Amino acid sequence: MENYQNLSQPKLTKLTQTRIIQLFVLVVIIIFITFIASNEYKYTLHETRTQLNDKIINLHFETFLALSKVYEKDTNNHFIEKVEKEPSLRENFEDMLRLLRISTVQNLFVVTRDTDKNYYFLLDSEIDPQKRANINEPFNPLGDYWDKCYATAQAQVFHHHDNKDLWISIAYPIIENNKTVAIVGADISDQLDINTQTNLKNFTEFFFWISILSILWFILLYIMTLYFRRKYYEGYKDPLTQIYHRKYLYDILIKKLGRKYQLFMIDIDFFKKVNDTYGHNVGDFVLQEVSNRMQLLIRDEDSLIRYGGEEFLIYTTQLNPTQCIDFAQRIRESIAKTPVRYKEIECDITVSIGVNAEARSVDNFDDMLKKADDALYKAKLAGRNCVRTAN
Amino acid sequence: MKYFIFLLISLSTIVSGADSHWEKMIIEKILQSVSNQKELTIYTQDEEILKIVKTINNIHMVHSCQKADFVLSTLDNTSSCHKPVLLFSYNEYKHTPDAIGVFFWQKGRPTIRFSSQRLKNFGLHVDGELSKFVTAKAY
Repeated sequence: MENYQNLSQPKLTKLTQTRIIQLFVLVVIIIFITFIASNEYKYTLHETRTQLNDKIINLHFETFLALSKVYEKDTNNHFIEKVEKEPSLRENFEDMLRLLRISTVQNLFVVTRDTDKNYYFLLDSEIDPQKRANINEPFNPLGDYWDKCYATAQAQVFHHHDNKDLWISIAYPIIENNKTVAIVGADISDQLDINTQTNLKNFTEFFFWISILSILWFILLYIMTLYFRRKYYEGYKDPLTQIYHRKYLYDILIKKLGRKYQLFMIDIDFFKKVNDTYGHNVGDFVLQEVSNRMQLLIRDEDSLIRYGGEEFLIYTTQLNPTQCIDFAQRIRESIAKTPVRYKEIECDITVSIGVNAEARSVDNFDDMLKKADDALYKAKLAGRNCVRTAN
Repeated sequence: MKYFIFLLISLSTIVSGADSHWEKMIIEKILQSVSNQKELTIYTQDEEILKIVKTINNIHMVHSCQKADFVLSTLDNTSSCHKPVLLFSYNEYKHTPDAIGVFFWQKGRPTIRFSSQRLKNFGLHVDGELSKFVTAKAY
């Protein structure tokens, strides 16, 4: 956008600082959004896992309720006695367990407790003889939830945190005469949790990389925007002086005029004579030098335009008529004060300036421009190297 | 007791029976519970058990079961010795008259049982927090 070669050091520093601040703000915003999204994602993840757990547990509760009813009915309230004494009934009951042992269930069994509060297996759905627990084989009730199940006759759920094999255990009471006589125990397969966690981990990694790529993409987009913006504005630059040319005035500047603005029409005095005397190389150098000196005096928000030939236009805002005259005089003096030197040639250059200090956006721009041009004409008539205002 | 329950839960939750370090702690605890002797002599034919047990302090391995205070085994192959046996298979425990106790894994849970009758036969008893696992049942 700006010609950095032509910028003074303070302006270049300020521009660089602005770009760095913009980039910093952009990165901070992206990090903030990523942080918010990440928190939301973690919360959703936690909720999903909790809901999944609840659904699995509820599913098994319903199944075990039906199973316990069947056991109670088939044994006519003599569950333990009949299971211990009738192998065929025991086999039938174990077959029932096997039917209910869906892929999410790692272990499904029935245990009972003796008077010494030692637990023993009654039924086991396991087929593999190496893993199978036979009737009356001791069962180690890790945790007190089995005792709670006995005491309250209410189903209990236990989460085995960080366990390699066990994830969730469910204890569901088999009740006779309002008393717990045995417990249906189920260990929900940790494979389900592992699969879930693996999938979620993959998604977490995906989310992480999406975040990184988004940040890089936004930064790239920002740099590309700056680059194309600069290229776009370079198209409006005069190749000789590297300041905006007339097309910029009518394509860009006219669309963003301030409510009140000021126009300075500047013309190099006797420029044709310079060209005729010293040649076009010197004439071109004079144009460059004059534009450089003016550029040093204008503010960031002002625009310097090569209007045509040796004629320049400065657009400013927020200057009152007195300030306008002072500003125009400073420009005139900075050019007249030091001769332009090109190799061995030294030229005394002066400019005439016409000022329209009271231009308004509601007025026609060409009319405002003509007023500045008329003022310039007055300055020329007044003998050149001077400033004249429109009114 | 709380300490031991914690140990069992930790054992099942952290290592799930795979880590010999925790099994060593359980075996050490069992041996300390059934014997008041400061130093014990142990006989085992099982290489895996040997690896675990020989790292326990105050335990001396012997090459003859006749010289051992206790026999540790996964199989009932020490019936001629008439020494108290600690087994690691419940099926073997049921059918081994000299097996005073068993430590095995069932459904991902470490399980311990002692037979009160068999302990009595050898003049032994279980002290402390493991006494919960002593049962009168013959199987």
